[in-house]
This record gives sequence, C-alpha cells and structure tokens, in this order.
Amino acid sequence: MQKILRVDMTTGNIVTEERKEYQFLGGRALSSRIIYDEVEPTSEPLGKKNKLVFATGLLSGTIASSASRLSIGGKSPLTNGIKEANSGGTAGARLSKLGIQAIVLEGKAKSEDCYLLIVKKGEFSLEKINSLKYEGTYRTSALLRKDYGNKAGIICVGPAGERGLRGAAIAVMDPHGELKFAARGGLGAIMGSKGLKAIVIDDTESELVEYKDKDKFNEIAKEFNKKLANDPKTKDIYHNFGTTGIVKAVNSMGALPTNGFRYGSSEHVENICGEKLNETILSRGGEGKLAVSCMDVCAIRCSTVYPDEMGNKIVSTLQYENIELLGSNLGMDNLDSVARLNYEINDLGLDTIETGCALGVALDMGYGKFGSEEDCMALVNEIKRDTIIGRMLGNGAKITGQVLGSERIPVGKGQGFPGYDPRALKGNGVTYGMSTMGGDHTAGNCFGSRNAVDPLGTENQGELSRKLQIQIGTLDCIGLCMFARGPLFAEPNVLADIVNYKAGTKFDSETIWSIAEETIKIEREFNVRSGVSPADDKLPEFLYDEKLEPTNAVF
Amino acid sequence: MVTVKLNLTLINQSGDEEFRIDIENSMSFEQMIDIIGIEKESLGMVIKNGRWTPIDCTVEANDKIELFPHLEGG
Repeated sequence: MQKILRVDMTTGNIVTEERKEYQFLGGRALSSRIIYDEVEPTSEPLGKKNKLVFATGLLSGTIASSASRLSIGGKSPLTNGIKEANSGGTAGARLSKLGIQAIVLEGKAKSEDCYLLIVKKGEFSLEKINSLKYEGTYRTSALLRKDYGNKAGIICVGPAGERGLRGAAIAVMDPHGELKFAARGGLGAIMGSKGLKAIVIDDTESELVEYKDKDKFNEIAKEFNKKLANDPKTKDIYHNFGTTGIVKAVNSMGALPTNGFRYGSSEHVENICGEKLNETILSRGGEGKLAVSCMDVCAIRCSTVYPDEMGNKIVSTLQYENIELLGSNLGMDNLDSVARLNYEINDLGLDTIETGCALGVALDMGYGKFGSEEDCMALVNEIKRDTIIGRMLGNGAKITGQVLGSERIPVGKGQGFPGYDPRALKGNGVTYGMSTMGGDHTAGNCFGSRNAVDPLGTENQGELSRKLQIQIGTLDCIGLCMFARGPLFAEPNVLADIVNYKAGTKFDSETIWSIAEETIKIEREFNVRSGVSPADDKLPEFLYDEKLEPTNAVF
Repeated sequence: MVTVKLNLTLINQSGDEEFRIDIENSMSFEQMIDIIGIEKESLGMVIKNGRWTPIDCTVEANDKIELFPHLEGG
C-alpha cells in the first residue's frame, strides 16, 4: 500500500503512514480530502494550522499518457476556501515510483531559516538551505538539478512564496529542466510560509507503482495513448500551436480580456496569436521549440520554448493564459514582451494569471500605460525589489484593486479571472462564481468549439458549467491532464477501465464521475465552514452593467 | 457576397485562407462549406458577423463568417 509522508515543519519530524480510507483517492480527491479531514476551516491560510498536500494521481508513474500530474492543495490565501492546483513535471511520477501517495506538509518552521525536503527510497530528511533564500525559481531549480541529477523531481517556490505573497505559485521541474507551475490560489505562499523552499525527489532504484492488473492496464493504456496521439487536436493543434491555438477564436467571440477587461477583443490579435507563435518559433530557430512534453509520458506535448531574435530562449512555456493575461490584458502588441514578462514573473514564483490581472488593474487605474512593456516591467521590478507597491501587486488582483480604489477588479472568490471574459462566455462566469475553486480556468472551462450553448446567451449556462466542473474535476482527481479529455470523454468506459485496472476500483462509465461529485461536495462544505458564503458566488458588479465591446454583452 | 475566413488547420484543408462567395439571397451552411472544400466533421466553431453561431446556420449575403477547427480551452 502506498504511504503518506507527513512532514512537520515545526518539529522537523518526518513520518510515513498508511491510510486505508485514502486508498482509492488520488489527485484533487486526495488533496481536498486531507484538507477537509485535517484543517480547521477557519484557520489562517498562512498560519501553522493550514496544511499543504502534494498528492499523486491514480495513474501516476505508469505508461498512461499525460497521467502523472501532481495535485497540490491547501486552504487558499486568495479564496479563503479549499484550493487545488495541479502541474505537469516529473515530481508526481517520482513520488509514485517511491510508493508515496502524498506528502502532507504541516506546522511552520520556528526560525527564519529555509529548508529543503529530500525524499529518496526509504530516506527522508529536512536540511537547511539558506544559501537559496529568496533565490528565483530558475536558479533554485537549476542548482538543485546540478546537485541531485537531471532525473530528480524538483519542486520549489520563489521569493514571492517565501514572502507570503498571495499570488505565489509552486514550480515543478519537467523532464527537460524547464518549470511548470501549480499556479493558482496562492499555494506557493503556503509552502513559503512554512519555511520550505524546495523538495527534491530521487526515485533511483525504486519501482513501487502498484497495479490491480498490470497486463490489462498496459494494454488499455497503450490503446488510449494511441487514440490521444492521433486526435486531431493533439497532432494538428497542440503540436503546432501549444495551447495558443485558441487566441483568435476567443478574440472572435469577443471574450478575450483586453486592456484590463475593458474590451473583449484586441486589435493586436494577429501579433499575439498561436499562428504568430508558431511562425516565430520556426523562423527564429535556435533554442525555440514546439511540441515539448511536460511529463515523462505525454502524447499531447503542448509546451513550447519561445526564443528571442537570436534564437536564445526567453521562456518556456508560452501558453494561452500567459499570452492572454500578460498580453492582450495589458495591451501588448507582440509576443516578445509577453515572453519577457512571463520569464520574470515565473522567476519570482508568481502565478502569471493572478499577476497579469493585478497589473491590468494597476494600469487601468493609471499606474502605467497599456501596451508599454517598460511600464509593466517597472511594476514587476517593484515586486522583485520587495517594495510596498510590489507587495500589493504580488498579493494579487483583489488586494491591488482595493489598495488603488478600483471598482473594476476581475476576480471570482478573490482569485483573478483567467483569459475568458465572463460577459461573452457566460458559462465561465458561472464557473468563476459557483465553483469551489473561484476564478479558475481549469475548474469547468466552458470554452469548447462544439458546445451547443450560445456563449452570449443566458440559457443552459448553469447546466454546462456544472457538467464541466464534474468532468474536468474527475480528470483532476485521477491526475490526468485536462487536454487528454477528447478520447476519454468520448469513451468514459475506457476512463473507468483504465482506473479500475490500475487502482482496483469498480467504476463504470456512469459512476466514474462520482469521484469529482464527492470531492466537490466536501470542498463546498469546507468552504461554507470557512466562511465563504453565497454572496461570494456573485461576480464583480462591473460585469453586470458595463457593456463589453464588440458584443456589448453584460453578465 | 459572403466572406469566409478560415483559421489554423482549416487553411491546409482548403488551400486558402479567405473566400468570397457570390450569393443573391441565402444558402445553407453545408452548401457554403462544399464550395470552399471543408469537411463538416473538421469544423469546431463558427463565428458569424462577430457572434458565435451554431453549425448549420443559414448564410446570407454580406455575412462575414470565420471558421475554426476543434479547439478546447484550458
């Protein structure tokens, strides 16, 4: 049976335990369940009573494509409710190969020291690593990679997390040494507040992944991998454009947040769209790359490496949300500016979505010009220099808007909106308001090209959001990437079988969704007990009466 | 005249990015995609005159149509 690794940051004690009641839980189902069972809902998110859970998925460490995402959960310092963010990278698979189902981080270091948690086969230790205090995520992860080898799973926070900034993310290293982020909800601030700078996971000589029926699992997993690889969305869209293939579609719908959510389409769309990204990466060559995987086994390969004019890497990866919140939302007219901002924000260990929203609010209030990389970089440098203004911005869009006196703060339950304006994609508005995760692009995203619901209409939005919250939530609970949904939603019996052969569960095509239904129920209960009320389900007032050009939609 | 703009992989399928189709009154969506050489199964999203529109809409003179392949958000 897989083990839970419990790390008490107050005492430095590390113990393992087996929890039979968690045996069939993975990903978000496991992280949310542990938070629900063990954290006082009214506790301070950055205090010693909150916990941070790193949970592996049900298929983690196997040959199934895109199935080793690491789920990280805690009580969010942004939403004040339960929060889960998941990431690619190698840490999830490494933990599973060590037979570890989850790491539960508890308490809080008593001193100002920062620590490194080292997890090896049968060996766990906490070491002081003050030489990395306030180091950026890139240098931190590169130094740890040098010390512990290219195959080590690495998780870290940047200075934003160490300073308790509520927009802080958690970085997870991928197989190529690039960083992916469990970005949403300020979970990096929880990790930093506990005094943990980084985790290194070394799974050398360990192969403790357990199967109910390995042969049948491998057979069905290979079939699934093949279907996913041959899906037109995978080979035609993700391999050529990453996740940015949707920029022009969202723009044409009038839902592309532009200039601080003032407009729904950008006049610069041709310069910041997926086609431009593809053309730029191919023409500049050098270190630029398309179709890069973020996990050991992934057919989707939606990551990219974006180069400068000389072919030198600026950032990996440039994704839709980054292009949106740091691009059109800030009035940018080119991808180079977006990439440079993206790099700096990643290095600080901040969520690009939250920070992009906060910067948009600041520009909207006159603290810089839309379209000026220089002005935006100056604000990012305030965060880097740890000034009062920087602390305001790093704490996210809500605090930034409140400090600056804005009436137009694009947040759902205190968390910055992702790259879809809810006035022109109303299903997402329902998700931002009603889901347990707040303004989140992964909690029930209603942008889908074959949806039968008019995104501007008011009918059936609740049903669509509810269905997607459950379906995508199910993938979160299994540890699957949401971009694997095509073949799995088409054949939910395959989804059920693949889980059953691995974990020994007895799901079918109907009951597989119950994993997420049960999880969302306990998340909602936790949120109610933490003080999140129905009033928090309401979206910001400006969305109800400020018409969004070009559709003139209101929520 | 109907203007049809193709995006992403649909351009490879039809060989051109933009089409102008002369019509007097209206035509079915299927007639329109027959003319431009796009398979219906490969279509994901239709934007007509700046608004999302169900596939199988009717196309009228002066309409501006944008077509996208299957896409998903995240």
